[in-house]
Amino acid sequence: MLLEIKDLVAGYGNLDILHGVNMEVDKNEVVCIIGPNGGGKSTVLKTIYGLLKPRAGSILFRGDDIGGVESHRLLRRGISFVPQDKNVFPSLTVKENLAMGAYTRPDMEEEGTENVLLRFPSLKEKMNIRAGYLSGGERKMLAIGMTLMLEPDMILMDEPSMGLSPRFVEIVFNKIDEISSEGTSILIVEQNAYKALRTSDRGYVLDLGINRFQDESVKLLNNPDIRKLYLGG
Amino acid sequence: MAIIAQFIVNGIIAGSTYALVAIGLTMIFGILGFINFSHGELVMLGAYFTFAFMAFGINLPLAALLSIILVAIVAVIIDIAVYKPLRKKEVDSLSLLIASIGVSIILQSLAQLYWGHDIKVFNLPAATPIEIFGANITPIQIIMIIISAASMVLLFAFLNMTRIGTALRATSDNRDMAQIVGIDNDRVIMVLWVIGAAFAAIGGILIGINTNLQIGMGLMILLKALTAIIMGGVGNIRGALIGGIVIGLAENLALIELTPQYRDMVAFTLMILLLLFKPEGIFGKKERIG
Repeated sequence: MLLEIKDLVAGYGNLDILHGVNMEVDKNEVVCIIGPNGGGKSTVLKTIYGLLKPRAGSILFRGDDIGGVESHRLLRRGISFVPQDKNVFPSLTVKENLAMGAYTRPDMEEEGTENVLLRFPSLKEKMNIRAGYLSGGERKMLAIGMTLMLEPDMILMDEPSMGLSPRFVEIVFNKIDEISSEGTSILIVEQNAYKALRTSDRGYVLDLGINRFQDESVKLLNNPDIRKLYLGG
Repeated sequence: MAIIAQFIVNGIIAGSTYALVAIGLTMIFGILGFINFSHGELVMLGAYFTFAFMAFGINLPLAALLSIILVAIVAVIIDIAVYKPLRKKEVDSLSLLIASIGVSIILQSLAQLYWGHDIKVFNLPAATPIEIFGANITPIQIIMIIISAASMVLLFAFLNMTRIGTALRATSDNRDMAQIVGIDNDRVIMVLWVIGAAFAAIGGILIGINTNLQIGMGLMILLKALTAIIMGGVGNIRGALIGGIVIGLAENLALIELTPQYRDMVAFTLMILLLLFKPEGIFGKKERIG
């Protein structure tokens, strides 16, 4: 197992958001987390990525406990994170943003940039434009591109569809498919539950900080309880 | 005509010192999110350390260099002792501002204990001014302008052409994302203080050369620099540079009509007008830095 989360408790201030979450992501898998707002979806990603300290339970990556390990160390171990918004540096050019994606590994900057431009060719002609001037869709491409710079084994994505037009949602999920088929595991948190379940191999429904359901995505999509409770009927 | 040329020369000289101080102030605001009220004391220390080294018989250029290094060290130590622990506690920017007012008063008091409160001047040979377009300018004032310009060119090159410079701009843009891509905040903040303090020290030394040294000199220059960064858009380095020069020019050109004791009024009237009518600054907020 690439990532194993056991009985994870975490939260902000005096408030626990996660009350014992269990989750697994295997090599080459796309796994999604869906569920209502405030259910703790984003909190899971932030805790894995070292932005929050786990209060109990464990997070194992390739068998090593990474609970509370800082982000820059996780990057070196092969984990990257795409936040839901404010995920680029607006006053830096596209080229500089990509370079910052490889900040911890300058030796990978050149090759990484080439690979990202092969994946997102539309960024090529925008290399010297400030990221703040890009459209929402292009900005999302750039944000995903930045995490690909270090060729991670696992990408954590928070709400990849957020703020995008339906056309770009389609494009982003196609890219997710493409990236995973080349051997990167992806853990997605998503409001757009239908889209997420159609793209992923397995899914978890997180509600009030604990797992409600977990199954293969196809089965979750066809589960009448889930359709009624979480997919709007 | 000659008198206007003279005011312009004086304005550029004063303005470049304001710009040097304002650049550090605006960068610190951009990354740490607070107005460093003790920034003026770094200016004062820059001038006084130079004075102290010269009293040991060291020549001005070397004394100035040693002073700049020393002020940078002082700034880094203050950050480690005061602001870093406060950041770890995640206090708000008001608490950081108040802490910096405390630092300002402590530094002033310590300086006064050591150097006394009487006005000091650098011991420099009398200079013969050169005439340019009817304005008198001394060779050392020309060197001052060159040093200011060179410092700024170097800074822009550093910010745009080096990895750590780019990381500094990235952190100023989006601190959370900087952490996510693995930029070491502590290192960036240390580089930030070294640059901010070095620029403040250069400003202080230039003021010392041009006028004199007073323990309380930091406050007035801080307020002028604040006006400059409000004019330039808080967090905007280019804006701070231009804002500083504009204020220096404005307050000197005002002398065509006003007597010198009203000079400071000009800068602060400008600041109030800007706050009332263009609070985001003439050059916008944070879209463009470096």
